[in-house]
Amino acid sequence: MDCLIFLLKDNIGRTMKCFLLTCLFFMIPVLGSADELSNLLGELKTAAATTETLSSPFVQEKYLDIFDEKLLSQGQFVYRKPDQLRWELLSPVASGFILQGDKGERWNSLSHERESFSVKNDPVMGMIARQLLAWAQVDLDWLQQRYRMELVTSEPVILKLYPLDPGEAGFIHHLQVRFSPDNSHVTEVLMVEQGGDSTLIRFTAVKINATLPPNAFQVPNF
Amino acid sequence: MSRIYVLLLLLVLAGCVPTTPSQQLPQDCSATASVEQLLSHSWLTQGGVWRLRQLTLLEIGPKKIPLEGFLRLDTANKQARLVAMNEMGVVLFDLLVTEDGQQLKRAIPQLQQVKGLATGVAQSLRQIFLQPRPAESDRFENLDSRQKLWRSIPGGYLRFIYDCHSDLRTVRFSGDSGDWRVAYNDYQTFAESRLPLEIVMNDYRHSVKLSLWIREVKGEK
Repeated sequence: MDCLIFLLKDNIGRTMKCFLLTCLFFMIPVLGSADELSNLLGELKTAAATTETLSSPFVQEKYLDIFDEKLLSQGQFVYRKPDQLRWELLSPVASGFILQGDKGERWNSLSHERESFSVKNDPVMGMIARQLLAWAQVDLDWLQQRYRMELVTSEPVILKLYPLDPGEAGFIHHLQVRFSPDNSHVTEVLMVEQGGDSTLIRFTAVKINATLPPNAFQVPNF
Repeated sequence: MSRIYVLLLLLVLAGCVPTTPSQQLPQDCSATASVEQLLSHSWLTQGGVWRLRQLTLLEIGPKKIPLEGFLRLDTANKQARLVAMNEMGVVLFDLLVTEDGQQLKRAIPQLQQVKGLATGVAQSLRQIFLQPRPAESDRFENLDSRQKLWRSIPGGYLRFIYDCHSDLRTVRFSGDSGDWRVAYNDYQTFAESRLPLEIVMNDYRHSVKLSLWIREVKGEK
């Protein structure tokens, strides 16, 4: 059973990485087709450089193919430059994690447990931190090494990303990211799994460079 | 001094075992149902198909694992199909459970290697939702505000406790082949059936506790 516990946690960590990767599109205001992309890179970096904070509630729709059923969850996403992040589910169960520099803390209200972690001692969280930095710094070289991109539409901008990593590709068929009409932020992230299930995250009220509450990066009481 | 050490050791050991929560049954009413009424009243024997979204906390010794689950329960055909997900909604495994078997439809590669995963989860689901079930041949006892059906099994007993609303509240199995208890709490009415929104199973032999909180209920037509 210890093995099971480890594997479950390991899988959750890998999933977090995938979701972080997609959700950190927040830090990228716009992308384009292959030709457009190169023209937009400068804009991307310029826009990312002006982003100090990001925050938004989100709705997560999990579609279970075998039951033809949608499961709704709700949460909150907060980022502050250069290295603070809060990813939190509020319903159906309060859970999430906070990352500050190379240290973080997870929580889950079901188990009533908090768990500290360090990116130096936790390879999974170390990888998450690497991705955070990549997106905060608009490291598109890193992104293009990891995904093959397709432009689905340009108005609004919708990108489809196919993972290149065999491990990730064995689990995720593709990601689809939709931007706001003014290309200022991501409005939807769709993750389609190989088995036909999918997860759609809709960011419902994105605030850019808003003042964050003092406890934005503190673990909530539960 | 040795008594103190023993006491401390017992306290430490007790802290590592998942606890069995106390169960409050209503006391201000009389249980008057017949055996036939008790058997027909249970949602588990009424032949419906239910779709249940649930939160799960699995406790193995001192370790706690929170999960989300979606369960399709076919009480007529005595089948349960569980899709277990992590907190991000990623499917960890998909398991079909029948009265006497189970089939792991899919699982993430890492879990496919975990010996006994499907069997262990299936056994818990079976005990909670499928069997053993009370029977007309069980012995019947009326205890004012609660009622009991029970039978002898090899090495012990199997008993079912009902409250004065005829809701099944406890299944207790203690015998050669196992030592476990399922508690059904917080009954609510859905489509003229009463379903428990909290279910807690304790497997004393393996120090495992499984808690389910049902958050969404849909009847399938």
